[in-house]
Amino acid sequence: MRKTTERLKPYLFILPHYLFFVVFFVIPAVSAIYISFCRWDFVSAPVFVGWQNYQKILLDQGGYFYEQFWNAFTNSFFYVIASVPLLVGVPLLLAVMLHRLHRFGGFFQSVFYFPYLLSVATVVLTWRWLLDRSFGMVNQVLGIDVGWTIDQPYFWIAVLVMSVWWGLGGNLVIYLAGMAGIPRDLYEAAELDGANAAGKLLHVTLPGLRNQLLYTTVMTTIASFNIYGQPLMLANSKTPSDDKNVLIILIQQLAFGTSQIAGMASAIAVVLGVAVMAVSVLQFRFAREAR
Amino acid sequence: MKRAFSSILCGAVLVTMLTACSAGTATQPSDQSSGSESAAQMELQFWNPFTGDDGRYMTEIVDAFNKENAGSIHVTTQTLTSDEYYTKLPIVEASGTGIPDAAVIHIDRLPYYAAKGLIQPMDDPIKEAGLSGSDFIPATWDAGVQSDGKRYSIPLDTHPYLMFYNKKMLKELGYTEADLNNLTGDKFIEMCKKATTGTNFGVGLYWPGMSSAWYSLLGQMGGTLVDPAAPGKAAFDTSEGVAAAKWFKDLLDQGLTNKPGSDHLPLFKQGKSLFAMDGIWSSTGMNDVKGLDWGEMFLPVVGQQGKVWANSHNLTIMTQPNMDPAKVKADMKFIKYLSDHSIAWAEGGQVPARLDVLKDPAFTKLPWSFAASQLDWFYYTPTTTTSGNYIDAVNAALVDYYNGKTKTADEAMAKAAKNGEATAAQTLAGLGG
Repeated sequence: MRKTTERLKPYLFILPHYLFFVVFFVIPAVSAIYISFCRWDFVSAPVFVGWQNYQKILLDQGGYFYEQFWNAFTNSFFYVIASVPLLVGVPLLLAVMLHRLHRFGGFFQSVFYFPYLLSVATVVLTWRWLLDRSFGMVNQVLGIDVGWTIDQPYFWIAVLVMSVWWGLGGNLVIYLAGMAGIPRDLYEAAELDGANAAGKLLHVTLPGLRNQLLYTTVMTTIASFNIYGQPLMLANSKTPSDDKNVLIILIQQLAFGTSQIAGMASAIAVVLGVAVMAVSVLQFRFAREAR
Repeated sequence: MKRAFSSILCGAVLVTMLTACSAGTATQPSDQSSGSESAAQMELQFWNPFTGDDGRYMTEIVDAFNKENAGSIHVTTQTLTSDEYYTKLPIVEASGTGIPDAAVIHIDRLPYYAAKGLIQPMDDPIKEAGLSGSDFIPATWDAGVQSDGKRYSIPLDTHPYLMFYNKKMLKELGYTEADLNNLTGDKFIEMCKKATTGTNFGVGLYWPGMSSAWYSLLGQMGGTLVDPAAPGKAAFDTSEGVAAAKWFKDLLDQGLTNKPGSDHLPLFKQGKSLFAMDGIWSSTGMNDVKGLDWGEMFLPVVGQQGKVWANSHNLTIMTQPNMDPAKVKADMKFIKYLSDHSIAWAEGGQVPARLDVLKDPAFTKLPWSFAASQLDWFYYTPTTTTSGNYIDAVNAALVDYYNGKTKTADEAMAKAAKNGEATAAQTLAGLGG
């Protein structure tokens, strides 16, 4: 009798979270997959249409939904390629530098971490005022006339700078915590072998942070694929132009816009989910082989 | 000891988080003191999207109604942000419980709600309440008749697109307000040219969302957005639609406007532009700026007749699983009360739809009271379920046109028509097929 209660205990501990997980993730995810095979506007009952939605977005060349999907997918994809190295690499460099600063390390850590606590609306609206073409501080101080919220490539540069400034705090503390766990004698051994700062970084720090790097890379990739608030609020339009549209914005427009095309939106969401999972699997594989 | 303390702390945090999570939408009970609940008191739920500054004007009217009808009818208001409002409304209908009795719905959304049976026909309750079309602004009243010939709402107000002007700059340039009467497109451009010097410019435009301005000019030139008899086909990719789009591009090319990428309203408030086009809803914000001597008027007449884009908040009775005739009567009483007292609502930045309220002295001293003498200017989107699809498509196409990505207005209109028809097809499929 006692043995069964002992075996049940772990399950009881995870039960509360597991309930949340099932109710707020599993059930909606399964529903979304079902809806992606239907035509639905939230009001009437969903009408099963088979692969039609997927056909329209993936294969129907020249069709509106095909063009919108591939356009948004390309934008999201290129944003991932640009932002992930920055959001993984910049905090790493900062962490290495902060690790050596014993006196003011804590202060600078707070400074770099602070933006991470802000909500996306705060970040984007503040930056939008800074980037206003006529009276924004950026144009005034640099003495230029750039349409940051309109023209390319300035728009995406603005989104990148804003997002890195905002997000680096999260990865930074992960790296700092990881670095605290690297034994000091490894560094001393490296020094004895004649390693300089770069050598120590490459041969002691990076391998020691392997798990953290894998974690931050995968999580940052997922977050970047799911980018939504920054391009939407920076463009300041309920219908951002094609070069600024990303997948989550498209999904929201289709599902909750003037005509609620939830089935198509779910199909796009499913495709996005599959793409993100595929990328994550590849990243894990790569990390394992690199061992 | 430490363990016990930290587990209590965790429990407290968990409880706080769980209760905080439920405070998602702002519920504003209009009357807190519901101590006396007489047996016959009817409880009504009223939903509206007025989360902005103007929300408090509505709360005042509802409170007054509750006071007058204490013991017989009590109205509780639920206010949601306009984004989630139109998502939640159909969902709560589909859920079958917690459906509001009365709700505010924009006039351009009525066709969809009527077609889906989410709102109730109101021809009879309106007659019983003693109201009729002759009590309201004709254009606003007519735009609410649905494709089946029935009425599903009464208009509360109308909010048009219009133009603000800087009185001080006007004087400095040598003009008077009389010059603004019957302002033609050519005179407008002449004034803008004079105003454009150095840091100042003629007119501020909201480049990321030009569909309302474009639609105003479309109406002025005699064009149509869509024919309700053929909702799947765009009707605006004609010479009028092209001309309307091009007119604003010409202003931009001549350097008479703010550049895309800069916010036009702050610039106007800073005194940098003579004119600024925006909706009437920006009027109350103008008073926040000290030292800004401003006025408002409709757009210049560029086509054959004066027209401006307008929308309208309409009051509706929502469909319940079991319609109770007594409740419908109470709903209508509440709705009529809101309509009768819409002067209080108008002060928040609206043009009341009731003709008698337009004559109220409290209205005539508002900066937007000029609209009362130009009632034929209000131009609504056609009463059909796909109007919104086309407006969104035009909005997106114009963004690309005005930032130079699309080269000609013809291309922009063609693109808008094509994309609008694609989403319209989905809307129609969800309704008919």
